Amino acid sequence: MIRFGYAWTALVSATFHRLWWSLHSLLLVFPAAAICLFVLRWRGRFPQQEPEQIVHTLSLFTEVVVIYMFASFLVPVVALSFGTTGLGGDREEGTLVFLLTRGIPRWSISLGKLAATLPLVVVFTVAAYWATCRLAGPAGQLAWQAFLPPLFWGAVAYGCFFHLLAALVRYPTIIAVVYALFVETLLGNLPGVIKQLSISFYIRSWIYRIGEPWGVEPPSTFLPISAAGCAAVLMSVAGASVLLSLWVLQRKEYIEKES
Amino acid sequence: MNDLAPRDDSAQVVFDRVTRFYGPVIGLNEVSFTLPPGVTVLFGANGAGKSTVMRLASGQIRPSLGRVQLLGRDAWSTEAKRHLGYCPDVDRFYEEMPGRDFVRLMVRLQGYSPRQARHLAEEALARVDMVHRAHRPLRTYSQGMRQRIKLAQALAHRPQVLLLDEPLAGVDPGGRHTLLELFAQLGDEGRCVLLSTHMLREVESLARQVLVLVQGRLVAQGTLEQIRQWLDDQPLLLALEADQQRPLARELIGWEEVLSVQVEGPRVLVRVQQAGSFYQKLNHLAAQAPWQLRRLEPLDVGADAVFRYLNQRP
Repeated sequence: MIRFGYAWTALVSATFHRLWWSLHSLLLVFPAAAICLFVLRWRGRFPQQEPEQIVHTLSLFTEVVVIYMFASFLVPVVALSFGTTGLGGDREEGTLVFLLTRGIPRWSISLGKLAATLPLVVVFTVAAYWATCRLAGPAGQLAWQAFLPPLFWGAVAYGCFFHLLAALVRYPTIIAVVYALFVETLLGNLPGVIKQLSISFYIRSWIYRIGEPWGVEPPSTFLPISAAGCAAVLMSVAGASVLLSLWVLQRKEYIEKES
Repeated sequence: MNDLAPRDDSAQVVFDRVTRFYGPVIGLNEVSFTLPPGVTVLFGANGAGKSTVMRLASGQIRPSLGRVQLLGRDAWSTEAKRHLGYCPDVDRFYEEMPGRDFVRLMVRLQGYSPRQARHLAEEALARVDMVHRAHRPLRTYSQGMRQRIKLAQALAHRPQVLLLDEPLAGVDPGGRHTLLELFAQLGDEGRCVLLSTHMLREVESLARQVLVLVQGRLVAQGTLEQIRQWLDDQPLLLALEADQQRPLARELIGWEEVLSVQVEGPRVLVRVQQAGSFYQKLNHLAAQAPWQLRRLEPLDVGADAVFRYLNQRP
């Protein structure tokens, strides 16, 4: 057990260190900074002295910043970037062989990679959201408390799902980008129930439900499900992805390409 | 210090009627062998199945049929891998990491504490002569240095079974000599070393056993001597030098052991079958003939010839 602990800790810390100091981390600062700058400019155009003004601003902030910039863009991008490179980086670089021939259970390699990846996804998302809400003034402070749960669980669900893709396919980044474009963007915005195949549907549903008292309304073609239902689906996606990724890595053969 | 791998003579790798398919393609065909402690050379051309053997033995893939065991455990299992050191043929690393950190990380992934990992990594780096160069990032290394780091990570945790896939690729001649000494040393320590190569001549001196793979089949197994003995009855090319070539050639052409005779300058090239019987008759002839036999030189009894012969089998 102690041996396993040493090995697993080494795997998590090495993966975290590599991801933290990677180009991905640096590149992700730019979209987050762009959103912050947008909010900074936008704030001046919406006075927030009166309660009605705050509610009106919150409604707009939710629609534009929380739903379109965070739920539909930044959260999946951050999750895709880190989620596919934790385990997927080793697959693409061909270094997974060094891990698979060590005396640690294969499933624990998947879990270790996820344990290093998920905190980065969550911390990056939450930190960017916190900074944005701070810059948005009183409406932002209300939005911070209200919409953190859907964004948090959305980041977790996306992170775990992209990690599963990394366990399943050799080039997970490409597949994840295709998935994000077709399933999340295209299907996620189609009328009807087909959009329920996308993770973003449940994040947006949850946000709309929370935002109802402030007049945040979904488009007429978007029929949100209950907040509890959204939470259950996002947690289930995360849990199922984790379990499936452990099972896949435990069972799957990985044949590295010849140099 | 954590418990180290047991070192006894029962340590071995077992392939028991192993077949491995890659889709419809057969990569390995009913291969059986046992590896004792010491150096065993796995020899074959590219595509012969060497890498499949290595991947099966290192538990990266599973056999389609048969079983592969390391020290009595399924090679796929975590327990088997605790006693395994694997030097893959792929040249991939965490490029930004210094060589020393990479070796330490690999030792830590075997379950050693940071302090133990430091000690074992330094020991391994010393064995591959990389102590003073291990502080540099891996991306700055030459091919030979990268090979040494791969070896260091394989042997750092002192495994009982070492699988070295083309470990001399890209290493300069001086470095090769050092590494060959290291492999011999590891074998002498009682470790089971399986070394794959397509350059048998280089490593034949340290091989306790040679496995020859051709098109996924194990076609020969044993010491080089045993394999040569087995080849004794197989066609062999000899060069004879006598003071009169044509009478010698005329004499030989009628022998049942002789397949062909060719006079080439001062030499008579003879392709023979049943070399043992041929040598006996030739001795007899040399003693009685009016001409003098000056020299007899087998042209293909070296290890490469063994391979050449085996590769040409129908």
